[in-house]
Amino acid sequence: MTRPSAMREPTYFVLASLLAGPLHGYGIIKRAEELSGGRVRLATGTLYTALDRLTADGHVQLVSEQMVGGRLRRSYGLTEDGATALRAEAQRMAEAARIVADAAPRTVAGLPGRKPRTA
Amino acid sequence: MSHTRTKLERRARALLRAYPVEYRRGRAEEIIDTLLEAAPAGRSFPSARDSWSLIVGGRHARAARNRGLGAKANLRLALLLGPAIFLSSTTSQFGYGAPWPTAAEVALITVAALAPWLGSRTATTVLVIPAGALLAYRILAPYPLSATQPDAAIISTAMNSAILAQLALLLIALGALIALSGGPARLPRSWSLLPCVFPAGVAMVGHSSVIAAFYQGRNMWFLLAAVVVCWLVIDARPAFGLCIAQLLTVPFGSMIQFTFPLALLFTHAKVQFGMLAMLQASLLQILLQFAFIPPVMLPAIWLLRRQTKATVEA
Repeated sequence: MTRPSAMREPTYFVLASLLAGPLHGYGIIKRAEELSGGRVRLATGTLYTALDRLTADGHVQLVSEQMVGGRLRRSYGLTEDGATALRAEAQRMAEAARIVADAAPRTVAGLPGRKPRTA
Repeated sequence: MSHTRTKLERRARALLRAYPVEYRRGRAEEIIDTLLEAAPAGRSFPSARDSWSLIVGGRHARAARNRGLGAKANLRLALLLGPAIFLSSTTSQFGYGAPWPTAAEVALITVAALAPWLGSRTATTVLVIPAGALLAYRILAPYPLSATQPDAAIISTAMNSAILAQLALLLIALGALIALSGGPARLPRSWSLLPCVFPAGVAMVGHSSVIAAFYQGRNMWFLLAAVVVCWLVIDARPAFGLCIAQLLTVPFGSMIQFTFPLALLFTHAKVQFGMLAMLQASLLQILLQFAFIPPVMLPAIWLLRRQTKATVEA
């Protein structure tokens, strides 16, 4: 990665879901859904693609492995780098939001959005 | 309850095959655990969203692995598949309808075609050389037409040039197998099913009228094309390999299909008027074979470039 670009929404919510402590796969899906008010519903494949990338970037780290019902369950935690990247992204979005929130909108009234159809 | 769970799990595991095998080794159990936990009770199929996400995730994992291999290694693997398919398809079609190569011979050449999967150049060389000798002997030996057939002499004269072209192409394919095998990256095991389609088809022709009917013409190629086009969703390399095989097959097929009817047309034109129709039919078949290449080849090259670009730039 040459320059930090805007984080994709699933990635952002995966990191945000780990703010309160390490979670396992389904834990992340549930927490991301709660945090986003039900809007971000991570599909299983999407979650693991995001986790692979975040682990490779050093933003997330494997914390524990345990056997539950005969299957391996891994928990992931946020690293220092991950927390920094998440904060930077939150900052970026807050600044972007402020541009809109602080502006008094001067909308153009009377101008039609589209040329009226003739005949 | 536990019954539907196992059904769901089985289907989820089938979907996980979109991921490369080395990835599955480390992650499959964990992904299955998450998928089962997230699925509402009583579901026996993974949801459409989950299914699609696994296919897309598999493609990501494969692209990451391909980038790790490098463009050269990927090209080598894709190219290896071509001669392997060409060898098994061509020798299998000799076996079908012709009295000579026996099942054992088709099997030997198929094994030679599959030798690169062993991952060792020495092993490939050891298997390929006797197969080459057998091919050369079989092709150069007199064509065993029955003596009572009046056109035997004409046909064998016409066949001479075709036979040499065919032998040259087959030996080039065998040489390519040796030259390209034994690199650092192993051929994916699932690819070995593609060259096996032809000998398997030949083996079953005698046992099923449906398969015998299907085996005629270019149907086997269309079947393979359909498989690799579906495969494009996760991996472009098999489609590229198939196109190489087609490019090898087309000139060979054209020679055979033209020399036969042409020879008969010029010598027996007055008697055998039906030959003109036969010539037209073979021309159509050759055109059809060519038409098949660009729609598969172009997206395959584009995807292959995209999958390996990152390494070329790095």
